Amino acid sequence: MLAVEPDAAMHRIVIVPNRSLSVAGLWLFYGSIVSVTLTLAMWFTLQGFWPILAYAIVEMLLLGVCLHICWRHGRYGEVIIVSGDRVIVEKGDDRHLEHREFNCYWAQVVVHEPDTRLHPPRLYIRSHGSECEVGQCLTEAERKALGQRLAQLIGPVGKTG
Amino acid sequence: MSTVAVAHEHHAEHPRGIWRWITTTNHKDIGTLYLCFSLLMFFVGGAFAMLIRAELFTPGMQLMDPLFFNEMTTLHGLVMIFGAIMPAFVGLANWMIPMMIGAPDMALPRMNNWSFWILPFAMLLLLSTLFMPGGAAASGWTMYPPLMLQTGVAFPFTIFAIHLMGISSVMGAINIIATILNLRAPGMSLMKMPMFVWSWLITAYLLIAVMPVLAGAVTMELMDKYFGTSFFNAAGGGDPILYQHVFWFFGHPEVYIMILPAFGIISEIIPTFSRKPLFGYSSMVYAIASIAFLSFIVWAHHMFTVGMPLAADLFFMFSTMLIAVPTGVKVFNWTATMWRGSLSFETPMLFAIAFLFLFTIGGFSGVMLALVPADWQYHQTYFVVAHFHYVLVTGAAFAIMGAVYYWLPKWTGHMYNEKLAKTHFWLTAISANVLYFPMHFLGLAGMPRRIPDYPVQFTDLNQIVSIGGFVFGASQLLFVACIILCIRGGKKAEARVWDGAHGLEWTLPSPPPYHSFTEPPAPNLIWAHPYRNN
Repeated sequence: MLAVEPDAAMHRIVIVPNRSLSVAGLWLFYGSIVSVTLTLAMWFTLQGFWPILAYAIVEMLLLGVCLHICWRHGRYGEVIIVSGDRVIVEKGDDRHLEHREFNCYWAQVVVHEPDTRLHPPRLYIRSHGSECEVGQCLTEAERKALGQRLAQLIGPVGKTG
Repeated sequence: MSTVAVAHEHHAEHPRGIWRWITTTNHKDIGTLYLCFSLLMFFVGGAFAMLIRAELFTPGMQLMDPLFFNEMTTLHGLVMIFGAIMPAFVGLANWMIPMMIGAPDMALPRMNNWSFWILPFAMLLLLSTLFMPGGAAASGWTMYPPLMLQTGVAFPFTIFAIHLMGISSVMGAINIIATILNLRAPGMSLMKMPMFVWSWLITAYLLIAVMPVLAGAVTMELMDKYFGTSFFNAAGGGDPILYQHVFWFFGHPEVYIMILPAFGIISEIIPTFSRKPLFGYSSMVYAIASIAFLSFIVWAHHMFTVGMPLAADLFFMFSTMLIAVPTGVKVFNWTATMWRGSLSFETPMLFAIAFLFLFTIGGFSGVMLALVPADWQYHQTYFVVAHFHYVLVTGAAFAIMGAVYYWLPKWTGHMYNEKLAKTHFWLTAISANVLYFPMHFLGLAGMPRRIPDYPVQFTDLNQIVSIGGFVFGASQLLFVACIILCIRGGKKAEARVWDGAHGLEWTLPSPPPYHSFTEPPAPNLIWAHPYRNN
């Protein structure tokens, strides 16, 4: 999800993925399905059918990993601030936050084409040999819109040649 | 590397040709793959059914030996359940759920790709067992020991194929759950979700809960055969009846896994063509949840004749009859939705109404089978075959066909040929009844199921059934023709294809863009959903 705060002096773009499941909801769901599945599997194990428990544990672990991946993706966020001659990019989650600053006049918006068409193109802000990926959690169309917006906001030196 | 401007031309592209379909992570592509695969398997499983009906056209052995006949009944069941019905519902879920909840795609797109591509290999493996020494499994789709253990070389391959199909189903279910719970558009709370989405959320929960039981059951069979265990081997202290308990603990929820999404589809179609909100949305959600819960405590009604204690017989009889209550709520609500509605009878609505009538017939025969004393008479007869075909063909398959006609203009951007579709409907509906209704009488008269030969007094009804079967099978070619013609062209479909349709999916153009919602849909669109009388 992309939100732009219009301000003449400062442009602030906040990018966060849309996630409808709260942490409490996630635990409630996972807890309920684990308790149901493992209770059933334990009951079968007590009857002597232990392979069912093995499969149930593997399945619950797979479900847990998948939900964890979804949850972790939901904690991710990016803030791009274009203010004066600075472009500030802050991105990451609550465990790891990356802070990058670029000079607005020298920064460029570039797109790396993927090696295979299996993956989407990736959007970067680059300056002085250093680059920072932005719009990681966006769809291709949203990333395109972000690229256009950033191209308007930064890099007039590059534009004017 | 390129500039932004150059890259934007690439954004509208996506891989082409065969590589697109192999590597795709797009929910619409994967939905299409699932639906095409299930249609193919519908014809493969249907071809097996045609062979069965050809053999049963007259008494005596005509076309095949009894072993091959049993292989056909086994593969017909496995292919139709795991290859046709379930993948069709997963395909519909893939196509529609992200669009219905305002999400750009499924939550785990790469896993989505894997969960589809496991399926063709699993099904090829299963079908290849026909050509192995000793032939395919001939124990029926339930794979009861000790008969299943007598399968030749095909035995471990069949078990492996079942495992692969189970893995595919579980991965699909996890993806659907993660998508529904995590990617709903802002403002779309659980009780504002379309009924199809609700039905799939509960179905996915059921799938995840019971799949380890199937995996465990078939693994124990494998261990009995190759590792010297005696889970189900009476000679070693095991009990083959226990396999039936374990299998049906999976098997009955599996039946609901195949019918709950159909309930969701019918709950989408009927309000649209009645031009009224769905009657009793909340009670429909609670009814589906109740049916899912009850599915865990009714398994032994499949095995009343094995000699359970009277108390167990009574418990499973009453718990099974209890299912009629939430199912009745649903049938009442669909009927009440149509009551004083501004009805029109396009093909999806015809399939929905046929579902309503014919699934109810299957439900009633289910209540008859739930009665222990009566079940002692009906068990292992064609009455049971009639019952579950009314539920799974005129129930699940009719709902899938209705869903395809309902959403085909949205998928392709073209209207289908209504005249051809209605011809398909009437031929299908009439032939299905010619095919399945006489089976009730065959069963009541005592004709056992899964036999390649029968006494001559059953000849007339069997010939009627076979003729119905051949017409039903041939009618499905019209279904394929309708789909192909619609893909190739036709009248341009609008975004809101049906004037009574109100879900988020109808706010997207027809066909929808490669990525569905590049912006979250406006909350007022969610509030305007037809399930609310606001």
